[in-house]
Amino acid sequence: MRHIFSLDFSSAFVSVLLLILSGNAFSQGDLKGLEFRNAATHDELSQRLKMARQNSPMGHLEMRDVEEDKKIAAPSGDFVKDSEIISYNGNLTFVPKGAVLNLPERFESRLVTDEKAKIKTFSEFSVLNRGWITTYEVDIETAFGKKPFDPAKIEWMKNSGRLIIATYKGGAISVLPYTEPDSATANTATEQ
Amino acid sequence: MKHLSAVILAGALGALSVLPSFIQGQDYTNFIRQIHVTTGLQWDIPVEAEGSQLAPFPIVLGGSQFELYTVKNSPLTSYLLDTRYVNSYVPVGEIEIISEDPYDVIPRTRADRPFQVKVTVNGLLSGSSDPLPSKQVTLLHHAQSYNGGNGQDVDRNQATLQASSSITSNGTTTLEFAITQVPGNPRNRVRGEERISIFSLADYQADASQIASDFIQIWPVASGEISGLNDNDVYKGRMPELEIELSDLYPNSQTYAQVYKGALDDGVEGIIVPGSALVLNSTVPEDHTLEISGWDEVFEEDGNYTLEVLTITPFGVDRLGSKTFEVDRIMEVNGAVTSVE
Repeated sequence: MRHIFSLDFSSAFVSVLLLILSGNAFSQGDLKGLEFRNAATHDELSQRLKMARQNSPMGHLEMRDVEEDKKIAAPSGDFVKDSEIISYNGNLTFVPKGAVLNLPERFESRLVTDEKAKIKTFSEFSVLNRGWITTYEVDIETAFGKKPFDPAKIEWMKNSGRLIIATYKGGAISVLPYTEPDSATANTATEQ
Repeated sequence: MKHLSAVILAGALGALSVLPSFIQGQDYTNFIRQIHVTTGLQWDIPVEAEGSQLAPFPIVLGGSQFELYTVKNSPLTSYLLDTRYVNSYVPVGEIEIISEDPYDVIPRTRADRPFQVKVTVNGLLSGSSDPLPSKQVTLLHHAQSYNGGNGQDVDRNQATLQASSSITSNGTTTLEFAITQVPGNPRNRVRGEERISIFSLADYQADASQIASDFIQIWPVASGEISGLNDNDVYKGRMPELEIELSDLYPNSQTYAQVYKGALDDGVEGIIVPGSALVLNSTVPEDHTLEISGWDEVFEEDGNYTLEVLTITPFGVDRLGSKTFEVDRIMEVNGAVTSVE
């Protein structure tokens, strides 16, 4: 079964354009055809609101208990607080917490915030810093803590002297601690 | 292991309503993060600024939350722009808000204008043994005032739930909002946003989670105050200097003062007072004060005139203020010339 959803955003556009033109350079255009009115007053809009509340836009649907639904939490998230921040040489990036597989002591000072740094995606940042960052592709089971790392790989990471970030299909991914399988416990991630 | 997959359509960033109208020296970068709900495992999806791709990370038991952020560097701050909950049996939804303003970055309108919301839900089941979260979603309508601001750093947890309903059948339903319900007074000066959201029902795997959401910004009705002219006054000399105070000009508007002969009337194309025209193409309303002097050239002859301040927006033409007065500058001599020898 596929779920299709859209994160549909048009291009970023933030600008203010303010022109004060001479009367000769500014044309009213054709006012005919445009609805013409005096600017709405508070009294007019209060009356319209009163009438609108008598016909709720959702009135044709099965209404629920608003007081109960006020308990539904609004989505919230703080990408900065929920991430590991890596900064170096005027650039900064984010990876999920738990994505750092190996952190040599000499690089600990690079896991800090630098507000003057230019924000980069992890992909861009890792290319710029490939001299000291290595990505390590993990599979789903390893990421979910269902399969342990090969001990040889762990030793290799420790001796690499590099910051190693877990990735999945190129994106940084957190790795949950390995948990011994318990046959009496249902798997968190199961075949569907 | 079988996996479900999600198709992600990711566009370039657009929802910047919480940000200042001027962004200078700021660095914004977008990130999409997938979070497995029951374990908290997180994966940052490598996507381009625009485009679509199949999300390769599977939707495993427990569902996933997809979060779109934009992050600015100074101060280091993230803004959650959108979030979607996806699970094997949870329906999918879309919200489309339609305003008379064709601005395509963020839906927006004015405090006196209507707007429309189309809510589409698919994937609802109806079998007797199907779990309740697969058969029903919750529609929420929130409204929130910007308290005189422009929405920057607004805490959306403080939005007021206006109404909630259940949707139990697939398809599109249309909601007609005749007027904004953003709280505040006076009603022509309210500014804020209204949000429509679809939430899944809570179950053993996850709390009620957002499936789709969108919001529309509501901006005030503009106002204007003309100083320097009085109704019914007669002006015999040079026209006085004017001050025109304009408040809450709509972000997409053309505003000007014009003069025409005769009494106040609608739809008259008069002579634009030089120096009185403003064109705005912005993200937030603006205030301006115009100081007009030396505008005598507008009056070719004496008579009764009307000066009015108009603002043209996607909603039509609004008169913000007017003055009616007489211009009488020709000197008339009553008398006879005689000579005496």
